[in-house]
Amino acid sequence: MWRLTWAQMRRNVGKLIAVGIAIALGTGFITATFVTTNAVEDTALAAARSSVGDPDLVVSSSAYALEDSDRDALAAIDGVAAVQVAANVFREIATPQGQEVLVLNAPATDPRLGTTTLLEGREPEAAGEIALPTSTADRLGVALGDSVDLVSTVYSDDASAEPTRTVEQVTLVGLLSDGTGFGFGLPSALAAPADLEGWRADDGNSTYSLLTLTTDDGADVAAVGDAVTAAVASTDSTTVITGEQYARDVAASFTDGIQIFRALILAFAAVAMAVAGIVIANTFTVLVAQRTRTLALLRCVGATKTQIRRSVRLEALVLGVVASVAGILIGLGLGQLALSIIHARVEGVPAPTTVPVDLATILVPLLSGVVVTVVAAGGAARLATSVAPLAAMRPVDAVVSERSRRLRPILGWILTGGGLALMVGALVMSRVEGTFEVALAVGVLGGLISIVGVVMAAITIVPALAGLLGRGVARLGGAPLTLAATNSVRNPRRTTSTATALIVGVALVTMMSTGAAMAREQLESELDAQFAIDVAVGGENLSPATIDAITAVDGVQDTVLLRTAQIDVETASFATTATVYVADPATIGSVLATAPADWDPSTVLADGYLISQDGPVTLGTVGEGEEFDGVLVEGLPDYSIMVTEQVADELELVGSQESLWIALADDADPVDAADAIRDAVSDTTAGTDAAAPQVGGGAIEKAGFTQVLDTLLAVVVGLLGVAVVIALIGVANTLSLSVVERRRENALLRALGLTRRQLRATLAVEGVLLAAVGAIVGLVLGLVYGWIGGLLLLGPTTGMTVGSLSVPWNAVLAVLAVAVAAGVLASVLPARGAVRVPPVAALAAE
Amino acid sequence: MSQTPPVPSTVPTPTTRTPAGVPGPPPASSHPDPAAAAAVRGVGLRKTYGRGDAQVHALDGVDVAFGRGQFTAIMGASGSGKSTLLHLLAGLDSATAGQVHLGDTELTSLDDNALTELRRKRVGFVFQSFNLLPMFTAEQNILLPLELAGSKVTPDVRAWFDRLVTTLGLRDRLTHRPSELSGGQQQRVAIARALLTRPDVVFADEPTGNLDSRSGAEVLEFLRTSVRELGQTVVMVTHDAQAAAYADRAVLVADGRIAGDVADPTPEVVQAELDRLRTASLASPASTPARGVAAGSTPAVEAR
Repeated sequence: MWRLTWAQMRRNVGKLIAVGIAIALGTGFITATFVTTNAVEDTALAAARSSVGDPDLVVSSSAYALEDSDRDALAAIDGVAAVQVAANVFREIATPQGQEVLVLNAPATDPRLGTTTLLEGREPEAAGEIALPTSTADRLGVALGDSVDLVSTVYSDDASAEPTRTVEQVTLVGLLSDGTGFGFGLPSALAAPADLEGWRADDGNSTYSLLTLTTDDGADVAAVGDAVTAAVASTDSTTVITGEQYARDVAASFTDGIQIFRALILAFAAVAMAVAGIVIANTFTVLVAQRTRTLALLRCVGATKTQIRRSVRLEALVLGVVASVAGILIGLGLGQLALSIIHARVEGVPAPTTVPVDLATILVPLLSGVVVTVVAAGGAARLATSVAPLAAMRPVDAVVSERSRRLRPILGWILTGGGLALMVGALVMSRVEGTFEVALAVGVLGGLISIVGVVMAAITIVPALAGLLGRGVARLGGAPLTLAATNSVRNPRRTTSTATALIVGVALVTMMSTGAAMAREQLESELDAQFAIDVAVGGENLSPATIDAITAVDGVQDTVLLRTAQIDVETASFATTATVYVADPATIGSVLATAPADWDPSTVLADGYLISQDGPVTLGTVGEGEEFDGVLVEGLPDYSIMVTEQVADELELVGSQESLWIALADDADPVDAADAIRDAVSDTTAGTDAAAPQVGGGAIEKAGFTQVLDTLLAVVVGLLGVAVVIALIGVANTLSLSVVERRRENALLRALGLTRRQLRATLAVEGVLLAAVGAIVGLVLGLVYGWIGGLLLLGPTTGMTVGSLSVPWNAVLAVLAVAVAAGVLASVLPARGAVRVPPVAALAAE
Repeated sequence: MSQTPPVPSTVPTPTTRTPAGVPGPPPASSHPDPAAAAAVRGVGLRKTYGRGDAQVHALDGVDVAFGRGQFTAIMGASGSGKSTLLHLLAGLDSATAGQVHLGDTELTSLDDNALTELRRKRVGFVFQSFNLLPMFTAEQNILLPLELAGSKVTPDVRAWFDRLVTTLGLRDRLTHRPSELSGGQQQRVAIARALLTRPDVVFADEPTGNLDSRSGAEVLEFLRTSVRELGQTVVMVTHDAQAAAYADRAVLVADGRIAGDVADPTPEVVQAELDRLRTASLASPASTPARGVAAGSTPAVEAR
């Protein structure tokens, strides 16, 4: 039978390739997911390793319970070669060109314990020496031998006191490779041990959280580990593990998220595979229908049902394996390409240079590809066995009669209705306090049930809709339109399953777009209240040059300079320290979106962290303060009070801190404007003694939030787009099958005077009809799912109601446009085959 | 029927090759019943389509037997039931009532797998539309039954294959695909395929229907050769009196019943019989093919 299966596959190679692409896309998707997440994990592991060097043992204490005495005790243990403590001192390095905060540590006593590599110069030995990462030195414009400012900002225990800033000169003696500064997100630098001791004392730190050590060559690491454990087991928080284990633990703590991310993307991959499954099932059914005569003959000359079934399954198996392997190669190739690009663009990335491949990367896509293919072809295999040997006797091509499935659509409608009812029930439930998780689970279950129902009931929707659209199209006149309209409903089952694949893909894309549009709308209105200040630049005695530079920035509309100070605040419920801003009621409205229009100068404004409703607020030293009427204003910075000059005088506020609040023009790009403001600030403050002013504010965060949402949406839509692409392959497949089947009919039409152009147009319109039907049903479903999902997720917290639903027209029109374009595109190749058939073929016998 | 079929000594007697697992014959049809000598035998065959008013009796109680080593033509007008009879005899379709005996095997009690095995080993088919696999060469098409059975080409089979190919004049065509063969050549390949397993009986359904008269005559000549020289049994359905004249015997079917039996038919005799049946059918409206119940002017004939 193998030879027979092979021969049949060779005859239908075109169709099989088309389905194979659908499978390959799905498996490639899965492979790429694994490769990417593996690469991230490997990168994290590499970074985690380099963060501690290559120690044999790591002693860590989450309670910072390790002391110098522990280090000495460990060094004395038999078999321990060297011990390194992680001093981790944070200091700012400043030059006229800028400043940067770094993590400082001592040079390693054992090269294996070093976390950076010396590239040039030497390691710091004496006090006043420092080694910086090359990239930092470049950024700050310093070379070996130059001296740089090392700024210490030490906070005293008294919260209200200003921190003390001291500046000392250090000499750059070495240049280091760019360490990862894993866990701190800061560059790693080296300083002399003596300096580090002093700085740690200044900071009030005397203990460590991490010790790394190496053992003597040939020493039993486990035995040494036991001795170390015995020596340091002072508290429960102290653990002793191997260096490799430590790196894995650290990496794992940073890649927990990646597992969720992987699961999420694999869920999308599952959708893509499901759509591929529909396309496969469809194609195989048609293949079997076309082979009715051959199958009947085989049955006549002695092929058993088992042999026929096995032959179709074998075909699916071969297709599944070949296509999955191709998909895996594509996925690996894409992953490698991405890695190469990353390496070419960013120097010194700890990412692997070749794609990390493990067993799962190969097995998961291979198995899912093969299983989906074989299972999807199962229906066709059963169908093939139902071909009666008698069919070989009939002079005309017999059509395989599929078992009538009148029950299926009925069950489908029941499931659809039930699923929708569950979703509505979930909506009602979500309004009840404390049932959110249950409501969400019920809603998701309802969604899954209803989509299965829709797929089952599609046979009652799709042909009807195709007929309706077709009649509309046919009314426009012209032979191609009329022909396409009738052709599109000639095989309702095939039309349905082709459209079904598209329905699933489009519904998911639309659902995500609708949900994201709702979330975005909601987020924006919330952000407007929360980030009422576009940009704020805070610092000590902002120079007029800085303020002028900021005012001149493109997109800056208004600026207001506010005096700020720290003050003790006592409210009805608690006492704390807050930042007080002194503002003029006449101008503050131009930079604070939520400023009250009628601010009584004798009252004070307070943010939501201080008071939850209007009420008395006492300002000033605890016990001696003065009571004011507090007005709650959302959008003020956290823990802040705003007062008029009048009140400020009463309080005798002192302080040299200032804050410049900036309102951006509506049409300004917040990120660009904020960047320009930041540049203006650093240009005008670099080289001065003053601490660098802080640039913050809602505009950037607001833009950040919407940007994150938009990026996420784009990624999700892109991933689901793969499912749509697979579905469109199905459309092209169906069209090409139609062309094969209607070879003589098309030739007859050509003989009767249909031009090649008209024949092409007929197929294009048929493709558009197929795609449009799938897109329309998918859009409607997606909108409903998106609305319900949005209400379910956002409703309870925002009070969003059915009245606030809207249609994301941009997305809807985009999907329709893509469907129409794809329908035309899908018809191109089949049409090329169709027009090649000469009119005379109509007269020739088969 | 006076002729004793020449059974060449090289050809084993078909009944000795009854496959294991096939149920034995019912006691009623065991020797010395003379009908057991028949290669294939139908007893009380009925085939009814539809129910109630729409009921159609395609076959209405047919008893017929076909001798071993004989070339028989089943003749009749369209809708007479001749094709249905062939389908029932070949085990392709199930009878509403009655039995079919292929040698010692009773077909109506067999399940699909047993029927399939029986078709593979003991029955051969030749179709009107040739039905060759387009992607296989002539040789591969001929050997298809072996491929399906998963059995090797033994020296014995190879010798038989060579003899078939030589007899049918296909020696030079073995590596060609069906699209490279003429209609007559394709049908000869189909005959070789049908004969490869030395079946108990070969059923041919209008084997010349798609051929020009010269190729048709050639194919009929080969069918007769396979009976006379290779000792095979052939049952052929045809509506063509010229074709029927190649057979040793012509069984006429009308209105779902056996309506005549001609030994050593000539075109003229067969044509005369067909004309007589047509006239009888026209004279008696009650016996239109669809509802024929009491027609059958000629008694059903038990062969030999």
